[in-house]
Amino acid sequence: MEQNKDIADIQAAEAVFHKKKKFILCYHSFSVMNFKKARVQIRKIAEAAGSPISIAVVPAFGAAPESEAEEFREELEKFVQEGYEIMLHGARHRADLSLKRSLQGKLALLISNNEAEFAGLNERLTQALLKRSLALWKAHGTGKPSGFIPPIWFGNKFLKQQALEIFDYYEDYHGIYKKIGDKIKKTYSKTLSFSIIPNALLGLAQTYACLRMLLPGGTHRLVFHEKDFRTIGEKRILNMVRYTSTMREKIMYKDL
Amino acid sequence: MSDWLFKSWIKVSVVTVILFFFYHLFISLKLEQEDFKNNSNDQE
Repeated sequence: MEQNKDIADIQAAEAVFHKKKKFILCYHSFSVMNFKKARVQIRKIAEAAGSPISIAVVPAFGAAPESEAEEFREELEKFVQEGYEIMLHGARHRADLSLKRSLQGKLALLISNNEAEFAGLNERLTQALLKRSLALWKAHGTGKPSGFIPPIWFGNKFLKQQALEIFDYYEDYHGIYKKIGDKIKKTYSKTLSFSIIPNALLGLAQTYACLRMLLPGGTHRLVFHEKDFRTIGEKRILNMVRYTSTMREKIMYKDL
Repeated sequence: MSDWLFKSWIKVSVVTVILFFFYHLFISLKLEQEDFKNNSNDQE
């Protein structure tokens, strides 16, 4: 009996130790184009994690009919009411190739298959695209997003400052930024995402993600896209979420 | 000195690769489990 109590104490102490490590679970690129599939996937991930997660929303309507857009708005509203956290994820996600970009930006487009919408833009174009993104979001009429995530995490030297003037949080590949007064606080955080990893390397990428979560340090971001359910598979995704949840406490951006 | 450093680096790299390989096998089995239960809610 006494021995059982000791084991329970040790297990409780281990649980407290693990819970000191934190992670963010985010579903990316939820949009009017994919929301019917994505809403099911998001709820499955949240169920595996045990609580609502963060969702990065692409606000553009594209050529979607008004009935679809209305259903998308209702779904967003439902997520907000259920306690999910909304982040803004670019305007269209896909880059406008007619805009002038720096050499670095052009390279980012090449690597990202033209998805890095904000890469290499100048100050004026960045401001305009950011405002467009916010205007598209406001058209959905669902409160204010917690933060801004540039598509593929490729920004430019103006975006962080401009985004933090509007939103509470901004993130890039290496960290999450929060404005406190005149200063910007950086939280070290690695992006653990699988969407642009070649299929042959997906197994290793999953092992690397689990290892990063196991090792101490950082508030890493575990990110899933709709595509991952086809390439990695639902069972492995949900088990990865469950495994990570046993090692780290899941938080949202607003808890940072 | 540089020879010793190089050999040590090789040894550390080999051990890291072996450990990563075993962790990869462990994770592959874990992620394929049918009845993986998250007990984190029970612990709270």
